[in-house]
Amino acid sequence: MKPDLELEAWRDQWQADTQVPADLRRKVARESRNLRLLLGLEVLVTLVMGGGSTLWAAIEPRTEMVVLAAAVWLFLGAAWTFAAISRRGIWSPAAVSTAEFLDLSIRRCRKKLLSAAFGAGLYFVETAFCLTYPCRPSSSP
Amino acid sequence: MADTAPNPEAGLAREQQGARLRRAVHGLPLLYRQVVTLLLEGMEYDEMAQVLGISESNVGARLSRARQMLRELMEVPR
Repeated sequence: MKPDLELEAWRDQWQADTQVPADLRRKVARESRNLRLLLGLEVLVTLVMGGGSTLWAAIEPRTEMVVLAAAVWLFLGAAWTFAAISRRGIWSPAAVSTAEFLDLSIRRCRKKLLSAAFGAGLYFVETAFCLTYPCRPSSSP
Repeated sequence: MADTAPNPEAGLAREQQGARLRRAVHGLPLLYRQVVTLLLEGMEYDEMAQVLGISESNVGARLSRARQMLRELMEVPR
């Protein structure tokens, strides 16, 4: 097959340019900020939900409360495991090039879609657990 | 001792060619700019067809026209 010299020359010129378009750079920077913010919120939710349920189980050490606290940690663990796996490789571009920035942006979009599906599934499981779990506050005499 | 530093004139010429190519690509209508950008980023026809949601023959037709327009735009002195 005859090599397409014109295309090869254009590709060389195009890919030699390391200037990332400003709007793409800004978009990736904004997404990175949002990712960090989301991480902070997740830590907060973990502390409030996990810490709260553990504290509750410590104050009121009934079997139901201990099981509830364990379930909360189980759900938190599932969410953190998914987050750790799905966020691998989406924190920063592998190189300062348009292709890499674009690739990172696409990878982040795909992970967001995956996270939405996982979040919906987890929400369904948690709701089912909350509705069926026979945990009631201790009745006062 | 031989000078191993890159030739500044060649570097400048290369930069100017790159800038001319970028200007020409930005001057293309969106329909053609899409295919040309994907082609220059190294995508194959089947990948472009998948990304743009069109057939491979359509990609080929658009690229053919886009390359013609790109050549004309690059010949225009700025």
